[in-house]
Amino acid sequence: MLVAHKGELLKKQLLEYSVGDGVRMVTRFTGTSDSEYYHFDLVSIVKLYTREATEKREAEEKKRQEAKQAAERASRAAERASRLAVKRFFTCITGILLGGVAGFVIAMIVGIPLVFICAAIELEAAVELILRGIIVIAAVVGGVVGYILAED
Amino acid sequence: MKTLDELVKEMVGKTQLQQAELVGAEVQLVGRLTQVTTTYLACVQTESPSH
Repeated sequence: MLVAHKGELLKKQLLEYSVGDGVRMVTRFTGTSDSEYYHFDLVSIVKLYTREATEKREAEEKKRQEAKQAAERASRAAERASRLAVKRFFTCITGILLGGVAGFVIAMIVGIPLVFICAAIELEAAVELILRGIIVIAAVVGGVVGYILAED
Repeated sequence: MKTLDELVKEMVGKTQLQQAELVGAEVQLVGRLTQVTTTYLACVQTESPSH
């Protein structure tokens, strides 16, 4: 909208104003040339805030927004990391248990016939060794499977 | 004294002749200056600042 400032007194007063200043004006409606533009004569004007104050306020607002966004990003990253750690932990435990069971079953399939064979030919030391081997193999396979699952 | 919104509402649907009846009405404008020349000011209507 256009506000005409006729008269030397008003023109002198307006020397202290610049683009970007916020103002409150008392105006007198002089007519409308079309549906979008209204024309007024200036009666009086009061400065509410300067362009510099607006820029400072906008800069502070921008800074606050950036700090808020950075904090939100950090919070989301920490939350993601926390969820991932929990997920990896449970995946690892599941893998160890599944791997342990699988390793035990495999070791039993291979070890039990050997136990019977060794018992038949009276090799008791070998029987004990094979049984310990079954436990060790089950533990090793369980650990490896758990590690692989957690890494994936 | 009217605000710009009140003035515009009063003019809606009126003919140029009817709108001419409002000439001379005092209107309070609150806004940010977008242009300052030797003969006129241009401003955009904004909300009143909180300070």
